[in-house]
Amino acid sequence: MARPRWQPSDRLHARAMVTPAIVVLAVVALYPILAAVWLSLQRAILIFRERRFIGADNYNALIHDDRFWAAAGHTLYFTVVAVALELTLGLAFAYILHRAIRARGLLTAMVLVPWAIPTVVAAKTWQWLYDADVGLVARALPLQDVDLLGMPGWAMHAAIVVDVWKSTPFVALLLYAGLSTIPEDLYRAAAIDGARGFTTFTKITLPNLRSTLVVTALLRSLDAFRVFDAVYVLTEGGPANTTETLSIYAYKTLMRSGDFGYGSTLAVATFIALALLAAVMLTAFGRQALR
Amino acid sequence: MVVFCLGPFLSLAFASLRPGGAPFGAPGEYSFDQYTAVFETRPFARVLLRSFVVASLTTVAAVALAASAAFVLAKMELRGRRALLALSLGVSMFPPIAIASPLFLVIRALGWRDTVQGLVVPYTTFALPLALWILTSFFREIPDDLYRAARIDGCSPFGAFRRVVLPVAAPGIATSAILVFIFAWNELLFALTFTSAPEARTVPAAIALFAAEHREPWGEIAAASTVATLPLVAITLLFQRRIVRGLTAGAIKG
Amino acid sequence: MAAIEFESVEKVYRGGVRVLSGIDLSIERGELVTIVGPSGCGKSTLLSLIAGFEQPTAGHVKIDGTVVDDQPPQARGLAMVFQSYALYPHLDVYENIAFPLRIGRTAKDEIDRRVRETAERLGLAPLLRRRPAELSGGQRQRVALARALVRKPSICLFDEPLSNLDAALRHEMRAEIKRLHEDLGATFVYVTHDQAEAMTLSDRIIVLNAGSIEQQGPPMDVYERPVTKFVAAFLGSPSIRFVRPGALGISAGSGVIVGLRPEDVAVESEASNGAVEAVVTVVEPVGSETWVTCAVGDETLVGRAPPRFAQKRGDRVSLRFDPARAHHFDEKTGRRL
Repeated sequence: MARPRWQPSDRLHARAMVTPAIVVLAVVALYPILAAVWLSLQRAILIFRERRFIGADNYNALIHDDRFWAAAGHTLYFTVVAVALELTLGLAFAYILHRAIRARGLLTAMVLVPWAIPTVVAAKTWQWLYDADVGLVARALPLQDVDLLGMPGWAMHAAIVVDVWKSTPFVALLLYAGLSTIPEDLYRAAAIDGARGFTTFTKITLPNLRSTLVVTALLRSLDAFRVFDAVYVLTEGGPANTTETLSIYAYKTLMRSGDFGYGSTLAVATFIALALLAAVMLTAFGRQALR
Repeated sequence: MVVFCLGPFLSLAFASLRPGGAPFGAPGEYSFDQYTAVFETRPFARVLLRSFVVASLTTVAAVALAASAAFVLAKMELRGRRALLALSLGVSMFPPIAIASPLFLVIRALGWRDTVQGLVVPYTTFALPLALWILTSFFREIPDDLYRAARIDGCSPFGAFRRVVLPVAAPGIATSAILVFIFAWNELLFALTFTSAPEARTVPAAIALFAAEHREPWGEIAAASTVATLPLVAITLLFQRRIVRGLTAGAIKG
Repeated sequence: MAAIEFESVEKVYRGGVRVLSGIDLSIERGELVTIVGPSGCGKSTLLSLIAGFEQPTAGHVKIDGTVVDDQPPQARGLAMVFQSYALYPHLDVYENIAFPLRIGRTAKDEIDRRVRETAERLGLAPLLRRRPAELSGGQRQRVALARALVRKPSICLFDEPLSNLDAALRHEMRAEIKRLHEDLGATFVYVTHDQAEAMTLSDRIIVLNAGSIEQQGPPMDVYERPVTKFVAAFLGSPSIRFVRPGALGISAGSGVIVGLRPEDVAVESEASNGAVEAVVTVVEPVGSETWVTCAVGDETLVGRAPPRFAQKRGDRVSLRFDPARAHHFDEKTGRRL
């Protein structure tokens, strides 16, 4: 059999096949990320065509910016409450799916519906439900003719409800998949050893679900911390900035005020906060849970 | 659980058939008037088409780029594989808002505001980590021997990818395509930032900005939302199994 | 000219794990060589080096006299049969067999002719339109063979091709592979951990242990004159037993250990002159004969007895053997003396 002529080496093939993805990531993502860091060190206001380097001044301003700290607080509150609720509710749903004998596929598909709905639509749906005139929620509550989203204190929780509704399916699915990996024999063994109901849950289910829970909590927290769509649609940060999260504040500064320098500072600060959050969670719940 | 998941949206869909967006009240009077209104008084048909084009192009581009890179990550030896993984993880963790501002400047400089490519390019980039993650886990499940057999039978690495790995991993490709499509269809932040003309908006941006002079046009919002969501709900019901596998790929060790 | 040559080949994986060291090897054209060894001995890596899936860390691999170190697998013109069969699940049997020809841009009618001819030869003609998922293990194995042989390769590699088959089928396929080798006259390199397969199939066996070649030669030569304890223990079933020479009344220097294969030890129920006294511990009738494990002092030997052997555990027996059939090894180095 004739030997074919020289062929490009495997390494060349491998390089050629990863290069497009790397180039796209580098040009469209890495470059803007670096540019954002660079912009955050500048005074750059679009409409005044002003752009000059001011070093860490923006970060100095940030530290003394009460609105930033308030936004950070809102974001953290939103993240913690929303993710906690999602995990609890998601675990319950996962249990139902896991125990369902018939129509599991149909149930799963139904659970997926909120996940598939665009966040904008989800937010609009709830905004409509909250609406003082036509909203079902507003009517169900004893507070007639009250604008829920216009009341400080209520608005943030209304936004949390939207996130919980939209994201619980994702949590439920991950936890459901996690539950399915626990061998049935473990439950049988536990039953033979006399464990039942709640004991089985705390001694068998939870420990075996630990790594799934950590991964899920981490993924959801990173997402919730960047919340934008839901809050933007519901309240745009109002009333009186009580629902203003870091992403919303950064967006307003960037796109409404056109202050690209300080806006970028806010964005970079959001990223740093996010990285901190991830680090804290990993230390708290243990790396070994991940691998 | 079912009420929680379906209730809110179903009542909205129901309200879209009622005047003024009130779910209950005066009996009778179901009509498609609000749908007609959405399509006739607003450029909603164009917006839908725009969204469809953007999401489809994004899907094709992201899946193509991700598949070829994921193949290398899953089946070949290459120095710097970790760097690619780290890069893609970093990108997926970065808040989109942080990228929006410099990207906005670039897109404006290129004259890409309100264009299809002005959305497809950023969407492709931000869908890439997700697609890469899912496809790598699917490709890993293909036995190494199958790839090796193709090589022995005379395929170059790319040939083995095209003739064997891709067809065998077709379900994985479909899964990642569905997820990327949904991502691109639903994205709001970039759509708001990089478009300004009402005709250039995508569905989420259009619905978010569905303002009226005095009060929310609930009926029309309900109608538009229903139209925007039905295709997704249909996809979800049809491909439920695939989506679940894709969402859990990699996150849960089986 | 040799079909395949290894010149002082070393393979060290990233992280410093050394899987092959100092491999010098020459496989002649038309030979059927088996590479045997326990799992982890490096035999699969050796095959990967020939196939081109991996590159040697040091030394060279030559095919037909040409150094192929930087030739990718598809350029080497080899065929290979995998343990998992590695059939393309999206193609039917016909297309699986045709695959290498299609890649090689063979003319259409030529492809058809050769696919049908190969399928005929392996008894696959009625299955051509089936998908691999619809085939039995044995049928899949035949398709894998057909796909490898349809190209009329000069070298064909086998990576434990029979280990997923049940015993009867394994026997049948072993004979089939031997027949194909004789018909085609190609070079076959066959990797297995099954010593019986190696013994029955090959012109030459290469015993690999811990990354180096322990011994090579015609199967019977290796079987009869194992150069190390390891080789002696690896070949043969039931396997050889090692005892101290004193227990058998054999005179040998100190630090010597003696190996006796079960078939060389006759177990007799009556005591006789020159026999070794022993106590039965296990009796294993296999039909054609009976294997008897005995205690000789505090040593253990296995011997052969007739099919209907009456003795039970605890009974006294005597063992007879030809001292010339005893293998002497250095106890420390394991080398043959």
